[in-house]
Amino acid sequence: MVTLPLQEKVSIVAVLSDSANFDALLALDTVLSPIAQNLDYVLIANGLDEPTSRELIKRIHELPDTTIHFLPETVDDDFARLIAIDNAVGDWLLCIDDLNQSWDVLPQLFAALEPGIDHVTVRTQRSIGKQSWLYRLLSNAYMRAYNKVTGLTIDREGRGCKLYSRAAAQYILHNRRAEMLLHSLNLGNFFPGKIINDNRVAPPENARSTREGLIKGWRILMRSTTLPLRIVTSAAIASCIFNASYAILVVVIHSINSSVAPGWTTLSLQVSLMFFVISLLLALIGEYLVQIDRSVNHRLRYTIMREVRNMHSRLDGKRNVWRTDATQEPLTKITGT
Amino acid sequence: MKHYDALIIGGGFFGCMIAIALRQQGLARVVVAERSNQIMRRATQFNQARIHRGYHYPRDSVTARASARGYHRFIDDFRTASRPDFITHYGIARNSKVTPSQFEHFCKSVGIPLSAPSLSMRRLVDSDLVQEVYQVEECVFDCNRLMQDVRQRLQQAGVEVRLETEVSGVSSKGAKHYFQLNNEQASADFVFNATYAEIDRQGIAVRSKVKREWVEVALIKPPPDLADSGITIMDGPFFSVMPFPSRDCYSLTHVRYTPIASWIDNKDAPAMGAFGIHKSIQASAMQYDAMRYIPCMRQAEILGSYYEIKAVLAATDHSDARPVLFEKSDDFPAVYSVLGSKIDNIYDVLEELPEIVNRSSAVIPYYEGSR
Ligand SMILES: Cc1cc2nc3c(=O)[nH]c(=O)nc-3n(C[C@H](O)[C@H](O)[C@H](O)COP(=O)(O)OP(=O)(O)OC[C@H]3O[C@@H](n4cnc5c(N)ncnc54)[C@H](O)[C@@H]3O)c2cc1C
Repeated sequence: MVTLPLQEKVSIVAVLSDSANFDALLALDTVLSPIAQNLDYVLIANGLDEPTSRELIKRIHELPDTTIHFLPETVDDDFARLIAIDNAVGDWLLCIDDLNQSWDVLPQLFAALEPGIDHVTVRTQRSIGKQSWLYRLLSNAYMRAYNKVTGLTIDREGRGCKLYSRAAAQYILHNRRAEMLLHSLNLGNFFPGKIINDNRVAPPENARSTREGLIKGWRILMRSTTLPLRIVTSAAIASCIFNASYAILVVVIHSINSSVAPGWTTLSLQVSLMFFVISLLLALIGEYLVQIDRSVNHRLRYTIMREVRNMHSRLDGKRNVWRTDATQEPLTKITGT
Repeated sequence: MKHYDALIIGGGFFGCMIAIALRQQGLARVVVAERSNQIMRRATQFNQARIHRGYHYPRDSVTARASARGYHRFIDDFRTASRPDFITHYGIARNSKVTPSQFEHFCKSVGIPLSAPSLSMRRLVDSDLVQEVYQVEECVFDCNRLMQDVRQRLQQAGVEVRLETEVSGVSSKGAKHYFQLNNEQASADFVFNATYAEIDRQGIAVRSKVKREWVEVALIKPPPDLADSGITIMDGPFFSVMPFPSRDCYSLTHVRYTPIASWIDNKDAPAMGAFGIHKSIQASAMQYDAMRYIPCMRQAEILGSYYEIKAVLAATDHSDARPVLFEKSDDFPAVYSVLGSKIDNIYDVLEELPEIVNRSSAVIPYYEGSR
């Protein structure tokens, strides 16, 4: 079994839902402790009901190095996961999709870390969840289109867990397509990854209504690309050209055809020039908006309502001394973060 | 032939503190052999003078916690050398390896305080390039005062300090170690190799690879707006502007420009200039880059630069971890190599000593004033 050196911290990031079970966290810790000596848990309580919250707060002392961030309102699970990543400082981030799963695969996951590998995905079998057929149809079509446009391979397999190097996690966090990258099997050429196929059927995804799915799809689209704005500016430029051409046509007709109705030329010129100016303004404003959007730092905006922390650490009393029996080289050295 | 209970090679801060601790643990004859004509005149003198409290290590909680633990202890122990009269700040750059939320999360988990900076400090940094600035509680030390303090402690503890003494030819027979102190033959039960950048040049094999950097640190007269405060922009190829009390000026270090050359194998060591303070080479590059983040750095005046060798464990070089190396030699019965990391991590080294000393039967209990 791989054991990471003390200097190599692993942050476990997970989103807690109503089914969150503290025993599942303890079971995870039992499996992880022999692998990583330096662990911390960054958990996001995403709209939990009161009994679950109470249970978590009451039992947090059982798990050292744990912080639970309570969000004031329920947000999408992927967004909550990004909040967890935004608060995790490990050299490696273990993103857990669902706490209610078995952890037999974890030793294999860490064993897969080898020089140059920045992320490892455990791919389970997807279970047909509680989603409606319309939701599934639309989401499949959306994903296919998204993959085609972005070149990503969005994981349509079951939920499992992923291990990211710090650099890969930072890349996801600062990327416009962050929410989609969480499901992607590739993170671009600079972050090579590995996939471990796990034959187990994953726990079903949280049911999302078609309406919620559409809202999420739209939000992701608007966040990931300026294409819609580009379409607006292109349409405005086309309208500019059309109106300018029409104005020229009006002048030509007026000069070669003496039988045009009185006032037609003036009215037509007035309308086309007015629309020309409006379209031009729209194109310019649209272009500026694209530029502004590009220069804006797409930082996650969120509020944490309450933070509960177990200050007890498994590092308490550990000396910062490098013993030569710690022969294993830290993996971060290899990945160059 | 003179016999010692312990020989410490290298009279830097780590060597001297180990010597004092060994005396306190009962070793009667402890000697520090220092090559130059004064103790603590190498890395202990030429560094950033920061008493680390952990803020600098958001990516390594072990080093951060060791610093958070050692910080108050160090300040209490070395009151005269500590200079808490400066306000220190950390800024998180736009392309930092940690986000402001991660930094805040990290500080809370280590238990070190963060607060909002003054409005005037916030205005000094370019908010396009720096996401967030924090005021922290971390101070600097004056190495001249530290040296005086340590010298006094050495004297009080009854440690023999041999200046202008080079140690060579370490060998062993039975449980004893033999060596030359300049041309004089001597022996010792324990040998501690605390020669920092020269740790693997003492004829004592060190298994852990050590990476060395030939570094330039600019000494500047700070811009008036930065008087009485220091700022570090993190986490990546950024810089620090910190008070440097022993020279009554500030130091400017830059992750990109401060290292001039680096090597692991001694045979790859470049031809270096002299150590200590000389004319600057990279200082203006450091200043130009710093000006992008803190425009008032334009008014800083470069006074010169100091040159020193920085040594870190090669295995942890690319991560943030800065552990102290404590390695028992394979070739000798009781030779230990110690590569210092942060000044206030000394306590972790001292905690290793009782185990070693108590294991040995050669110890004659030493009581305060028994000499
Ligand atoms: C640029 C720079 C910035 C730093 N910034 C900080 C900081 O802000 N805060 C912090 O806590 N730490 C900092 N450090 C680290 C810190 O300075 C060192 O960890 C610490 O000074 C090491 O102390 P030492 O006693 O091991 O080494 P040194 O002080 O270098 O002592 C080693 C001694 O061994 C002697 N020696 C070598 N060979 C022989 C021999 N054969 N015989 C006899 N004597 C010999 C040398 O002359 C020298 O005096 C910095 C280091 C550098 C280089």
